[in-house]
Amino acid sequence: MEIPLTLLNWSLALLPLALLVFMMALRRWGAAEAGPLAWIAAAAVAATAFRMSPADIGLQSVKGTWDALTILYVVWPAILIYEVTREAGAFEPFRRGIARLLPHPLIQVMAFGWVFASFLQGVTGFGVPIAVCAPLLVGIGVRPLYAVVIPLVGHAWNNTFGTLGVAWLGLKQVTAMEPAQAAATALYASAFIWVLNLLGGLLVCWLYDRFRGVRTGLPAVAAVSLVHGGLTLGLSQWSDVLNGFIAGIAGFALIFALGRLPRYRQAPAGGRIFEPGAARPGAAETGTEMSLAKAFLPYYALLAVTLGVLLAPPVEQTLAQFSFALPFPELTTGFGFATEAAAEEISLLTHSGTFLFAAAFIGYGAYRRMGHIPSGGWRRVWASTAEKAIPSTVAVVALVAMAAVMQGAGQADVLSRGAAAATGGFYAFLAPFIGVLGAFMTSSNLASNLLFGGFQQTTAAAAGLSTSAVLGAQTAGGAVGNIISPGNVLLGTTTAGILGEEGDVLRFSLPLALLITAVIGAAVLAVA
Amino acid sequence: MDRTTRAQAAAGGTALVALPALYLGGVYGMAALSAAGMVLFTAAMLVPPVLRILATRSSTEP
Repeated sequence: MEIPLTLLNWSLALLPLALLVFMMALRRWGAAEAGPLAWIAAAAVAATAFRMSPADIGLQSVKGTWDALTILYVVWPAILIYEVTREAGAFEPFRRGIARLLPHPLIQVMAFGWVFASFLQGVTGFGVPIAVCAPLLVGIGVRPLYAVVIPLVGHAWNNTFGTLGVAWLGLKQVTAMEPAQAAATALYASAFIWVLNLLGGLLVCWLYDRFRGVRTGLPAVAAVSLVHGGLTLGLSQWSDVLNGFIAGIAGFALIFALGRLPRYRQAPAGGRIFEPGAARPGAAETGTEMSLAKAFLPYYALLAVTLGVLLAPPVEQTLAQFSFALPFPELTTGFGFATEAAAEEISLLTHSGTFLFAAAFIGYGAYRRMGHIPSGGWRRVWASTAEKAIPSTVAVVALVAMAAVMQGAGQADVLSRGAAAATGGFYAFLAPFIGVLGAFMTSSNLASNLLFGGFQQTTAAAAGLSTSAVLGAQTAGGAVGNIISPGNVLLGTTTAGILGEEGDVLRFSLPLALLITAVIGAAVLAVA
Repeated sequence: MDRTTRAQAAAGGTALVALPALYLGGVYGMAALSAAGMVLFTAAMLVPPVLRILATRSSTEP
């Protein structure tokens, strides 16, 4: 028996998400308050309209909490690394050092919010680019709200082929694509992602100083996007794993070359995104106690540890053996909607959280040894970390548990089937929006692909559309969804020091994400 | 640590306690354990929104 696809069921399935967005964007609740309310709504709808037993709702909530651990394992050390850097007083010398290397404030913002965030997404993912880049932008004087929105928009494109391609591999796995179809899908996906990358770069310039910012930044955006998008497109036919990483690192090298162009050697007043009264980026300052290299120390350590593990397969394979799993039985609702049995595995030592913890410890040890952190620093660092991380922990657990309940009850299935049925031939336009929905619910491009990849494939075939184009749109939409996923937003607000203002970030980033998705949707409509 | 964060920490702790009950109750079909877990988990989830509503009310009272 299938869950009846009625307007009432569809509306009820939408209720938890609508409530979440309403409370956050319109009532300005933080995710730590709106998330639990959305879980209660999801559980109530699952128990009544979707005939899920309370015991199964409980099991799905445990599964969600278990999945949330992988996010929280990034949240806590990301805040820790920020607090260590702050305790050492490294942000001011860091800001001055970057201002000397890249005098133009727009290039500084692009370097951290777009290019470095993309590079980090290429190697780590799981929200690390937001957690790392938001405080760095605050450090150079960017207002906290913009410091969160900019890396959210800037890093999103590398969510499919970044993190060593896990989201792309997940899509291939769940759809069992033949090699020829996989090659075509990779081409479509990377072309749509290129659109996202270009729009991301332009939006960063627009946020910086509206159309004047776009005019100033256009040559740099064109050059970086050519490298990011072009390399991803070209390399998508060669490697599933390395193209996002290579494109990210090439873009990072390029931005420093661009910063030396005469056009960007000047240091005009910062755009509207800078804090009033913040020291003007680019101003010549000397006599800093800490050099840029020292100020960036925990982040060097992060790169060294991450690359040292992930690019050395024997090391990674050895460390990956230390994993543990929690088995979950198959669940079936009163409508016969089944969720397969699964063992959710966590590989602790190869997880980004471990790299972040290692970098934080190395950074603390080095700063302490150099005398930049006085005694009692460790206690202060942990106290500040806990204060910031506790509300994020409540929010992440509630949101991921809500998504798990919605998946298990068939609410997500009804939502996507209803949208497909209502749009008919217009489905191609809708395909990336379904990817966005999946990533919004789960804070993960990979999870979005696993959740909706099979559905998109079948629906595209039934509608006579190109399955490669639609699957490319699914994963590109999943990448866009990371701009608004509450998990990523929370990481940003927490590390930028504006915890509780997730609604403001969402009010800003939601229209941007929908605009980008509509452009990708129009492109899919044209080619599918 | 302010009062709200302390309350959220307590809610998080309660949710944590509920998890083994929910898991064992669900996997081994122990309805009473599941029910106890659900009550605890729901109570934990109610704390943050209720605190928010109470804070909003007290700030709007004359």
